[in-house]
Amino acid sequence: MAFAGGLFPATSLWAQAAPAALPPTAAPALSSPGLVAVSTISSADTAWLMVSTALVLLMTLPGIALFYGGMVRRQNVINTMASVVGIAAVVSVLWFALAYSLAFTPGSEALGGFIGGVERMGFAGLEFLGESGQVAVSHIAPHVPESVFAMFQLSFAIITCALVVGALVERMHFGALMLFAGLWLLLVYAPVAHWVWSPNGWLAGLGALDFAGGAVVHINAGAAALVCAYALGPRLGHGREPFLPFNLGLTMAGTGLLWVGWFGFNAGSALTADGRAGLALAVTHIAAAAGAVSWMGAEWFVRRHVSLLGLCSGVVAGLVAITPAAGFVTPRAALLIGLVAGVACYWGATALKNRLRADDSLDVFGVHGVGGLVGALLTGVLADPAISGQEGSVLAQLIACVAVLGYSALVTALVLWITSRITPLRVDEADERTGLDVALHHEQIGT
Amino acid sequence: MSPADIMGVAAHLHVLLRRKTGRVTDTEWMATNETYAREIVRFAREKAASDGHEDLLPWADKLEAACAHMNPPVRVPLVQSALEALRAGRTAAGSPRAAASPPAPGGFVESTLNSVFGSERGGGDDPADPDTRYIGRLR
Repeated sequence: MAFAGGLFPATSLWAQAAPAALPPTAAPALSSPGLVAVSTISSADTAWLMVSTALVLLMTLPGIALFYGGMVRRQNVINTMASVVGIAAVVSVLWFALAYSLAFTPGSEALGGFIGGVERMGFAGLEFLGESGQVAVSHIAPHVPESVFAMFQLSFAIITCALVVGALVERMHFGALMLFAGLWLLLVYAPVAHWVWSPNGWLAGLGALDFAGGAVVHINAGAAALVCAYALGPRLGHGREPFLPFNLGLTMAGTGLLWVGWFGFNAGSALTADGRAGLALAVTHIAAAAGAVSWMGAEWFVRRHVSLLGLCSGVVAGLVAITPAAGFVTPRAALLIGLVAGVACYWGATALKNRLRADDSLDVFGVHGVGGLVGALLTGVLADPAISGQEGSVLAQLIACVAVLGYSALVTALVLWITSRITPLRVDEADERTGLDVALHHEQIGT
Repeated sequence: MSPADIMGVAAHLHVLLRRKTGRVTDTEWMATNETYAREIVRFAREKAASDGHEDLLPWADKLEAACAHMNPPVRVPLVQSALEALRAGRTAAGSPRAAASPPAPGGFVESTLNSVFGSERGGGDDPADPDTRYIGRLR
């Protein structure tokens, strides 16, 4: 999802390498989704994007479910996993119904790049006409079928909404969460994705670089998570009773799935199977490893031990921070980004968390918010023009960070308020003490 | 003994009792209500004697010592407490803000900015005591 609207014409903004990869028979550049001849589709790029879609979905189902499920208390594991699966389902239906269109169609010029249009509601027009040899494509990725592009984007929407779950576990009503996730997708995720990734999005026009979602996914989810944590309040007994994680082995398994899935997340965001995608894959791995190393070092320096959860968190910190930079930086820069992110996110999940005084239960803001900010700003510093032809601008990155952080926080608060008018956000005290697995789902995890 | 120390003892005993005997206790109540705390002390000693859980004994002793520092119970007329409960119930049901508003007293002890700069270096948690490690923080 590489993008830099300030330096390139609108039709080539998304997949920077796409023009070189397209076959000679490529159709003229589109300014909105439309039909093209099947012969203009790149089979290799399509195949890679389909694989990437599966990899990114794997990050959520079961990656995030396991990652979060292992960190909550035994009596809330099923609720945490159910929340992730439920969100995947709700987001998928709404993506099909409306959100894809709002995020990835050009929309009215009068709206100034704030939100897309409604012409793709219900995936209207996502055609494959075998008889006439035509297929629908997005103007953003005209070398792959729009059906594949839309599903790839859906997997990002799913994981972004699922990330927020980490801040509200063990106390939020399941029904309220489903309603919140649906509204949040439409009112927060879709507009922000349009700002950054649509060729006419206003942040794209400023020249902000966000290869795979540092702002759209991680800063966005981190800000929303923090607001949710404040709105819901701390869990009963927080800060007074030990909240023993159910099984950090599950968290480690989830981390492994996230790490592998992130290759689809970042390298898939090149939207082509080319050298730049390969570079994105390499820097992703290097940053993840560097994040783990520096978190490990910070934890040892402060506490004189290294924890498995710390290692897993460091991996995720590195992955988060390299996300906006993946298609713009060299492997050496990736190492630096990972090292900085590991320490910064350790601080975010410990000292900053203390200052913020919010029960962001699984440290979504500390890892994703802080990691996303670090990655976005360092992209402005370290982007190498020799790779993509695009130079970074710290000012543009800063504007993008502040805009996404502020908008996400404000509208998340609004969405929570709307949700609370319809259904209580928080379970009652007895249910919280019993545990949400039994109280809400009438199920229990094994002994 | 400070309230935080008493809470620490209660949290220890809460975890030990749950693990050793399966009994679920109310940590906060244990740290503030002398009658309840003495009952927990009695129960812990009984289980230590009957089931051989001798590691309960030192924590029962500590809680007993802490009983002297607990505030005496404030007697509130039944009508007044019922009215307060009713009011609190109404507020919680009617306003999400109310449900979110009561802040957790204390907590977030180990993970402070100061610790990053060395004041708690190496002492953030006791490796031999994993239960206290998860009070107020996960990482």
